[in-house]
Amino acid sequence: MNRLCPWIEVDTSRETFRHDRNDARSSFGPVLALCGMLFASPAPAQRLQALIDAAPERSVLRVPAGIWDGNIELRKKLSIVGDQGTVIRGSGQGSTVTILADSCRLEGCIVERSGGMLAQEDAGILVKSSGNVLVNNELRDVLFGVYLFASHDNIIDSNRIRGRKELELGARGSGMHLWNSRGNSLKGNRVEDVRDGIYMQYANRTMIEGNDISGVRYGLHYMYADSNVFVGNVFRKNVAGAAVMYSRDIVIRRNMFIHNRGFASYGILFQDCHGITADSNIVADNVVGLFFEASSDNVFRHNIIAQNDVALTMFQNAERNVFTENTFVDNLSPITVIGRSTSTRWSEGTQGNFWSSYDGYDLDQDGIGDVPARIQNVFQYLEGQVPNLRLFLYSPAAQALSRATSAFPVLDMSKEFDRYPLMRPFDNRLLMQAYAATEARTKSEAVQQRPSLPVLSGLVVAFGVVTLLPFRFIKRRKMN
Amino acid sequence: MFFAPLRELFFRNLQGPGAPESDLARMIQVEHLVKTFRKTLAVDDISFHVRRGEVFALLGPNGSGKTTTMKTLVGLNLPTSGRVTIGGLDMATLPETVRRFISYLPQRVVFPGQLTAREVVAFHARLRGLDPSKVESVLERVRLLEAADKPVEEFSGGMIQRLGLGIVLLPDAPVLLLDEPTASLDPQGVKRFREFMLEQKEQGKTIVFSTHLLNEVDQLADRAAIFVGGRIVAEESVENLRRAYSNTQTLEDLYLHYVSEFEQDRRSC
Amino acid sequence: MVLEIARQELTIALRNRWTLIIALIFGVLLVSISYVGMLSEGFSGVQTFTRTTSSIMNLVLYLVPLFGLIAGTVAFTGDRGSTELLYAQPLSRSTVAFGKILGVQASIAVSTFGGFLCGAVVIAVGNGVSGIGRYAAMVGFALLLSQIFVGISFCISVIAHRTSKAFGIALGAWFFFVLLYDLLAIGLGLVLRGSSVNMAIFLSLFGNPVDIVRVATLLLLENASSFGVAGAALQRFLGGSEVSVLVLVLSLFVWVAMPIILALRALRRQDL
Repeated sequence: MNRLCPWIEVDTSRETFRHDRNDARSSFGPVLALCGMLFASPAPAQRLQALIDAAPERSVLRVPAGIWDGNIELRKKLSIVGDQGTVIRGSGQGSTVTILADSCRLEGCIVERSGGMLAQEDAGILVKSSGNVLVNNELRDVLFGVYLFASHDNIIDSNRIRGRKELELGARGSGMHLWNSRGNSLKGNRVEDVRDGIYMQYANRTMIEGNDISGVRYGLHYMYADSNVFVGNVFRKNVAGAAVMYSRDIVIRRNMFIHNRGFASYGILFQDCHGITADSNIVADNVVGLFFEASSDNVFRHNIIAQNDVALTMFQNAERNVFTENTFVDNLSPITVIGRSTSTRWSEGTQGNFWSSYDGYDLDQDGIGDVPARIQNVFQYLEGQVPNLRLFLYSPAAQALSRATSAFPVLDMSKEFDRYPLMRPFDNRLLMQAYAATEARTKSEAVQQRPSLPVLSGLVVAFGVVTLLPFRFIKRRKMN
Repeated sequence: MFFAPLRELFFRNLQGPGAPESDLARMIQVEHLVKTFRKTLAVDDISFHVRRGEVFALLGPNGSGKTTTMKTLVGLNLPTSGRVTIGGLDMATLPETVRRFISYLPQRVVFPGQLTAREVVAFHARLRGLDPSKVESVLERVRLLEAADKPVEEFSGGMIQRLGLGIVLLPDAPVLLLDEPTASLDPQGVKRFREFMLEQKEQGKTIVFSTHLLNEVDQLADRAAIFVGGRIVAEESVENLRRAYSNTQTLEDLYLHYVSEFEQDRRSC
Repeated sequence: MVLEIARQELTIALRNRWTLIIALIFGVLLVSISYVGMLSEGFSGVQTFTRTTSSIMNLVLYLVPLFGLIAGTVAFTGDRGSTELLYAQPLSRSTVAFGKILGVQASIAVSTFGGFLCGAVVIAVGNGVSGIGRYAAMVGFALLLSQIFVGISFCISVIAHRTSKAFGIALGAWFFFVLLYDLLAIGLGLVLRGSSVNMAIFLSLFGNPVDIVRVATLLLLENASSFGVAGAALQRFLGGSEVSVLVLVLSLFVWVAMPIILALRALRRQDL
């Protein structure tokens, strides 16, 4: 035991890195509580850096609850484990925590008050080394959340990152910013109120799993990063879901891109992306579900693409993409093609997609519609030619045009057909359950206004008076 | 050929009324009134005047321009050219003021079927800014008191005509313009209407009415203008008319003569 | 006097059952749309209100002009005899006509309100009052649109004397404003292409009150995103998101006034 600080546990064995925080609390609890009172109540704050400097390498530094002054720098391999309410408060300049040594661990701390310089990468936690673990931290009032700068094989797990909501979107930093970093794992983090939820540039072989990103500009801002895996992430209520650019070989599975409704926004944008496999994702309630520009040879399977204003927007230069066994439900327009037509394959083998707008039939009962599904109607086709025609959306004329397409196939200029439309959607029950859970969460977060009786009755009375008042003229008949 | 002298006689009367009357005596004056609808000429350069307290009839077959003239008198039609003055005031410049002195009964009287007779009369009373007590007396005069609270759509043609008369009576205006007032009345109604006209005349009202029935002119009018094809072929006191037609067999013959002569003229043109 | 005539006209319209029929049709349709809208929450609950909004908006775009035209034509050309009697009173033609227009506008406003009231109750009971502001905006647009088409029907009644002819023209006008105009505008957009096309499309919106209401509703209730890039371009063209809604609403008021002013001018030189 260290004489200077008896609560610093020195343990050279790697085991300590993995031990449970609850264990630590059960053995050290009383001591920590005492120290917490000692340090936290009278003295406003103390410098954590002094403790770090005093701690030997490979030790575990347990920091009791209280406000600790930053910034701190980790220049040696060290575990810092916070108690509930351990706050590392930055100086307001530079990054609050900077990790420079490999294989460090930061756990259970509240990290706040980073600097405000975008160009200086002022972050809650700036990582410039590799093999680090950041677990269960809460980052708040930070410009960037976690910034990985040429930093590989880190684990960033179950952190909660909140940016500066008071700033303009463009003046904020990213939640998790990966630059020139490989082999990292981002799991179960929750990101809000930053500019981009996850920003990745030159970041290959990243595992992104179970993160929940909401209320940001781009949920995922992604370029020049290959061979990454996205599983089970939720990108909701952002200006745009994900922008994936100049990358190849990405797996996108069981993610949700929902309620992304900014201007000219989309669930996922693919620009110059190739060899992407997307399956079992939900892309719902976006302005544009999926957006393709110069992105070819991607495969989409078992996705649910629902209730977007436009399900797919494809430039003519998006070639040979394959859509099979996807479910297209209740999109205002299924597809806008910019240019004449795409070489998209709307089926693989004999498996097409389910289109809720499909009005064909299945006489031979094989589950495949007997008539090819027409994906675009005339209006949607024309809209691709002159984008501003979209202003006639919902207009009776546009509706008449779409009706006319089925009545007079001559009008049909679009070449987009699904030859094997599914009669019923692919059964993706687990995905739907996860979706329902997410929706319930989104709803519970939103402020709910219940109908209060006075308001309701007031409303009825007001409407009633306005409506019925003129009827008193009718009674004049017998009067006078 | 046979009728040529007669016609001359009428023309002389038409052009020479003797000493010029004062403007005040001429309650209604129509000068060179022309009215065209698109290309059809409905009224072709007519002039006549009506003296104060006189009952004047516009006599002519259907489509001869009577109703057009009547509507122009009340300002519903705007003259293509020519001038209408009533009580010395120009209809074209002061239509609202002029209409203050006029009660007009359209050829086909229609009332909103959903209103009761009382409501209709009360509404018109309010429009003219009249005392509401007049409503009852008017309803009584046109014998609609019992039906006053029934909606007009349940009324018979005669009742509607009576309601129309009620509206005419309501403001007690010095000039009454009645377009085919007896057209939809049964004989009894016609008789009552005559009584009404005479009564109004006694009150010193100036009355202009249009009709295609000679005997009405005979019984009610002081003077009459005979309309044929949009022109006045004769403007004459009923006395003179009587005298003229004693030369022929009946007034009807006289009237029919004008009609057929006009049509011959038109064909030969 | 104007108010006197307006009140008379309103009384007639209210007793005429047209008002009641229109209100009932509106009410039934709105209630069923709201009800179905709530049922369809089954799939996901996403965008419930948006879907309901767009359905109601469709209802408004199709039916409100039709009802406005019908009610107006019935009232303005229905019984010429009584109109003649009115115009023969010592009132100016504008007074009489304006009174009649006001009365008909009031009656159509009553029926529109009545219909929307039913829908409001169903939505408020089922979904709460959170969306009531948007609903009220929708009602406002419906009212404006109905007033516009009452004005247009008055124009028609001035042009066409006979009731049957007026009804024919009214139906034609409905067809034109609801369908044909947009088809022509879309066609124009395709023919022009090039740089002038955007301007042409934006300006063409103002030529049709139905379009203005549609675009303004979507801008206000769903923000411009559902129009995608076109919406952004339109907002920039009109000068910002708030300003553009304002401009659209103002242009609606112009549309309310313009047909009436034109018709009153024409009426001055007309035979009745």
